[in-house]
Amino acid sequence: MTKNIVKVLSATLLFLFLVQINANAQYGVQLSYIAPDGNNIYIFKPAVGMELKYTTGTNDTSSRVRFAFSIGYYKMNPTQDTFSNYQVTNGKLYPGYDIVKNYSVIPIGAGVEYHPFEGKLTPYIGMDLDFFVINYSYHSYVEAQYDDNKNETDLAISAIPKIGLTYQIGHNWLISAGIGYSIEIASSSNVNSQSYYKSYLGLSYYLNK
Amino acid sequence: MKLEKYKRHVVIFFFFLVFINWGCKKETLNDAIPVVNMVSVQQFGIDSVIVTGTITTNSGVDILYEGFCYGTDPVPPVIENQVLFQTDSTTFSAHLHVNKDSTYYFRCLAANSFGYAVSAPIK
Repeated sequence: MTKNIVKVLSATLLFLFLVQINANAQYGVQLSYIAPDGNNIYIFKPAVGMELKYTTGTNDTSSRVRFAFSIGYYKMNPTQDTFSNYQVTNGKLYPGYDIVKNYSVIPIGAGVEYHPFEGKLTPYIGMDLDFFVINYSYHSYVEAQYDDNKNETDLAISAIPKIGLTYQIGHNWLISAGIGYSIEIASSSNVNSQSYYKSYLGLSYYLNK
Repeated sequence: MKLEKYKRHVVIFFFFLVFINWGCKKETLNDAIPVVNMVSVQQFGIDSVIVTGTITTNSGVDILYEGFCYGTDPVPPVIENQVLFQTDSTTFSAHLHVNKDSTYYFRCLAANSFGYAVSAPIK
């Protein structure tokens, strides 16, 4: 747990460092609608997440390639109060259930966006690489086998190809919206898939204008 | 190249893509668990029966275990007199020993990687 806190703090410090060293950039807040895919589609309801985002580039047409860094948070609620569970021991199936108490995720991301056109309204394509710190707790019961409360932390990495639109308002503000799909590349556990569809809406502010 | 001319079309198409995500079907774990039913219980000799169960739907996930449980309780617990086998056939049977002077209730069960399901009991 302490290691994870250190990782999150390190990422936050990196984010703040980037804010300090580059005045020609955007700083923004992004809301995401996260719809699980893969095995998690049966376990978790879609969730709303929030990210703090730093993007390189200036608010003009010369910044077609922009790099972004972000740190966020989202919490997912289970689709059911209890989930079927079982264990087979000595050729006998013992029935049980799991209750998910908490499932929260801190995504720390870096990515690139390419804006092929000029103008106030510009589409873009991009790719993010997100590192996830997943904290979850649950109660697990199997008749005559175990009855436990568990708290665990998993780590995962995903690639998120995305497409989106940005629209410039005045000189300093930029609205960004898009959709992406998180493809899990690696995970410390095979039960915490971070495959999901993500639609997002963000508002950014330029410091240099 | 300016996109201002096509602004309305671009925005409409984009939000169409975004709302496809919002409108995706939402599932629960119960949608991934098999559905099973007892088909028959046939007397076989004096003190045994042949029971048959079926998987009505496998929910698109491979079946890992199938089996039966039975007892004199109208709803026999899953672990009571359980027989379990690893197969993935839609219809499955077992030869079970019973006491000729008692009334028994039988249930079939199946499990996949998401969980297990048990049928309603039949006499």
